[in-house]
Amino acid sequence: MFYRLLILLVALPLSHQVFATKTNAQVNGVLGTSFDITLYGIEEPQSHAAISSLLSHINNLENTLSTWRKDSEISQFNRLKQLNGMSEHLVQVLNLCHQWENQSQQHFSCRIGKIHKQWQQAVTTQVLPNRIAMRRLARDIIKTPMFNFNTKQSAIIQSHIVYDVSALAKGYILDDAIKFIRAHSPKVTGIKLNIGGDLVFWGKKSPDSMWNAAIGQHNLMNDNDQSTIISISEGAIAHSGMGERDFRINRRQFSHILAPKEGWPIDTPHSVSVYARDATTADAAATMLSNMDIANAIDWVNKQQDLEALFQAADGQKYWSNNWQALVKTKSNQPLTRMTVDYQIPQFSGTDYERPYLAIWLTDKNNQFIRQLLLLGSSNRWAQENKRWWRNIGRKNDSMLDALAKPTRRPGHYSLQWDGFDFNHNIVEQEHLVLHVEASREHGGHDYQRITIDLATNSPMSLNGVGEIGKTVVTINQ
Amino acid sequence: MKKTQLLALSALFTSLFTQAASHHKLVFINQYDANQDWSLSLAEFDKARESRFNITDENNDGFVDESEYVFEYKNRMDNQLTKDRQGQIKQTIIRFNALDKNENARIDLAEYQGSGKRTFTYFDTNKDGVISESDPAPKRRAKKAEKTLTATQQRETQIKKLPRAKRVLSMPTTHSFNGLLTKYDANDDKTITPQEIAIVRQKIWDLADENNDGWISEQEYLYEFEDRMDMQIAKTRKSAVKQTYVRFGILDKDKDGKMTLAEYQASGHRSFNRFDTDNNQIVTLDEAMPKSYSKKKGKKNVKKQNVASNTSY
Repeated sequence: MFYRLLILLVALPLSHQVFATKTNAQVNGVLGTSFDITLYGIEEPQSHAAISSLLSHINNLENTLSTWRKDSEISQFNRLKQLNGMSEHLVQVLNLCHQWENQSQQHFSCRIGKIHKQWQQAVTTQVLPNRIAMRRLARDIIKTPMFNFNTKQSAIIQSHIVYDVSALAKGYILDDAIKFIRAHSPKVTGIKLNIGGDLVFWGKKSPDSMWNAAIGQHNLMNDNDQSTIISISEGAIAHSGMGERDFRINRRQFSHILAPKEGWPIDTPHSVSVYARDATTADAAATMLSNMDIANAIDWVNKQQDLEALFQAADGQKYWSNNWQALVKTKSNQPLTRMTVDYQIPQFSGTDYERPYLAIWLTDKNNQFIRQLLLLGSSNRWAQENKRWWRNIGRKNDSMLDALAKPTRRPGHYSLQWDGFDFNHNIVEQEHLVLHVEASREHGGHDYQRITIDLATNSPMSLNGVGEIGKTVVTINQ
Repeated sequence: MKKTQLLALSALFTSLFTQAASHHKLVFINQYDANQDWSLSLAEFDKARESRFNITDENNDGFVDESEYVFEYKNRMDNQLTKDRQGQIKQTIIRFNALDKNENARIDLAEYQGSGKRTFTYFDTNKDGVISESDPAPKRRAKKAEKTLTATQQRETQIKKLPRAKRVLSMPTTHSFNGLLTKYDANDDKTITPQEIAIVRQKIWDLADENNDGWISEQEYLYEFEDRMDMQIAKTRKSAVKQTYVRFGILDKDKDGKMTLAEYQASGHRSFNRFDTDNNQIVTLDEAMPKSYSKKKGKKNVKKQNVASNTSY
C-alpha cells in the first residue's frame, strides 16, 4: 500500500486549481478511498509541499492503524496478542475505542475484529454463520475487561479479542492531519479535508464566510450547492450509511453494520450524518448511532454538547436532533416559520382508566403527508387504534413508531413545536396546511379532528375538542 | 351487526382462546417435562426451572442479571425461529405446487392471478363486486365428520399440535378481512375491488419474476417469500426481546438488577398454579383449561398480535 501510494503520487501529479490563495488537491488510495484537500492562505508551491508531507504522515498512520496491512502495528498486536512499547497513536486510538465502547453501552466496539473476519469468510464461502455461536462470541468479547493502554508497559490481549479500529480511525487521522498542517504550515488560514465522504473544516476560507456542506448521499457531501446545505464555522461531518458495503450471502442481504452485542448485522439499518466539533467524535458517533434505535440515538444526541445528527430510515423518513436545523442554511437565510401547538389530554374517571394514544400530524390540503408532530404510545398494536393515522401514515412508515413514539401521558395541558420542515427535511413552502389530531383510549373512545392552518396569520387558531381530544390551539411564530 | 353474526364471532373467539390456551399448556408442559410423560409435577417443574436458572447464571454468582436473562432467551428464541423458518419454507413450496395448476414446475401470470380471483370470490360473500365490511364472514369448509376418539387418541392428537404450538413466527395472513385490507386496499377506502387485487398481485409478480422471463420458478417464488419472511422474523425478534426486558423487570421484584432463584421460582409457580386447575400439584393435558385473563374486555381482547405471543420461550 505504501509503495502504491508513492507510485500514485509520482504517476498522477496532483490536480489542482489555484484561486488566489486556495489550493485544491485530490488523490486516490488514501485509507483505501478518495482524499480531497483544500488549503487556504498559502501559495501553491507551499501548499503542494504541505500536502506531500501530509500524505507521507498519513501513510505512517496507516502503518500503525490499518488492519488491512499485515505488517501494521495493530495487525502485529492482533496476531501476537502482545506488544512491548506501543506507539503513542495506537495507545490513543485504542483507549478512545474503549471509552466509546463504555459510554455507548456496547453499541460501539473496536474489539469485534474476529466477528468481522467471520463475516468476511461467510461472504467468501456463502455459508451463513451460526447466529447463536456469534452471539456467544460477542458476549465473551463484551465480558472481557478493557485495560487502559500506555506506551511504557507491554500490552496483552486475550485470544478472542481482535482490534479493528475502522469505526474511528478515519476521524482520528483527519483530526491528526489538521494538527499536522497547522504545525508545519502555520500561515494556513483555512483547511478542508474530505476522506471518503467524512469532512473536517478548520479556520476560514475567507474572512466572512462559513463552510458549507451538502448533506445528501454521503458521496455527494462536499462544499457545493446540492441537497440540504449545512453551514458551520468549524467542525467535522461523518456519515454512516445503508447499503454500500452490505454482505450478500446466498442472496440474502445483510447490513455491513454489526451489532457488538449480537455479532450479527443489524436488522433495520438507517443512515446517519453527524456534525461534531472534531472528526474523531463525528466518526465514532456515526458508527455508534447507526447501531442504535433512532429514538434512543436522538435522545443521546440531544444530551451532547456541539453534536447534532440527521437520520434517514429505510422507509425514507428523516429524523433529526433538536438543533440540527440550526445548522441548515436556508435559501435567503430567512428565519423558518415555526408553529406552536398547545394540546390537552382530557380527564376521565374510572378504575380501568388507561392513558390515550395520541397522534398529531400535518398534511397539505390534498392530504399529502407533511410531518408527524407527535405520537404518544409506542405499541404497534394500540397505535393501530388511531385508525385514520394508521391507515394513512403509520402502516406505510415502519420506522415512525420506533423513532418518534413517546410514552403516553397523563391528563393535562401540553405543548409542542414545529420547526418548519417536512418529513424529508425540506422547508415547507405552502401557506395552508391541515393539522390532524386523533386519540384513542383502551376502555375509552376514539376521536379525530382536523383544522386548516393559515401560516400567514398572526391570530391563534383553535379546535374546541371532542371526546378523547381536548382543546387544541395553534399559534404561528413568524 | 346482526345478533347471529355477533354470536358466530363470539363462538369463534371463544374457540380461538381455548386453542391459544391449549397451545400454551402444551408448550408449558413440554419445556419442563424431563421424562416426557406429559405429566408435570411441581417437583419436576421446580427441578427443571432450577436447572435453567443455573445455566442462565453464567458467572455462577447465584443471581441472574438482565443481560444473562436476555442472552439465554435470545438463544432459545433463535433456535425456534430457525425451525419456524424451515417450516415456512416447506409450506411455501406446498403453496407453489398448489398454484402451479398445470404442474409444469413454474407459475404463469394467469395461474397467479387466478388465485387472487378465487380469494375475491371467497370473501365477496354478498356478491356486490367488492369485499367490504358488509360481506358476511365466509363459510368455512365443512369439517369431515369427526370420529369418536378414545382418550389416548385425543391426547395423541393434542400432542401432534406441539410443533405448531411452539412457533414464534407468525406471517401476516390474507385469511381475514383486516389482513386483506392491509395487503390489497391501495386507496384506503376500506373496500377491495378485483382490480386492486390484480394490481397488487401484478406488483408482487413483477418483483418475484427476477429474470423477467414471464414465469415464476419455484426458486423465484421462494425468494420473494423469504424476503418478506426475514423482515417478519426481524420484527418478531425485536418485539420479543423488548418483552424480555419487561419480563425481567417484573421478575426482579426488589429491583436490584439481579434475579434470585427464589424470585425466578415464585414467578414459575404463578404459571404452574394457573395451569394446575385441579390443584393437585400436577399439570396434565387432560385437566381443565385455565380461565382466560379478562382484564381487557370486548374485541380488543382477541385481536391477533403480529408479535410473538409465545413469551414462555
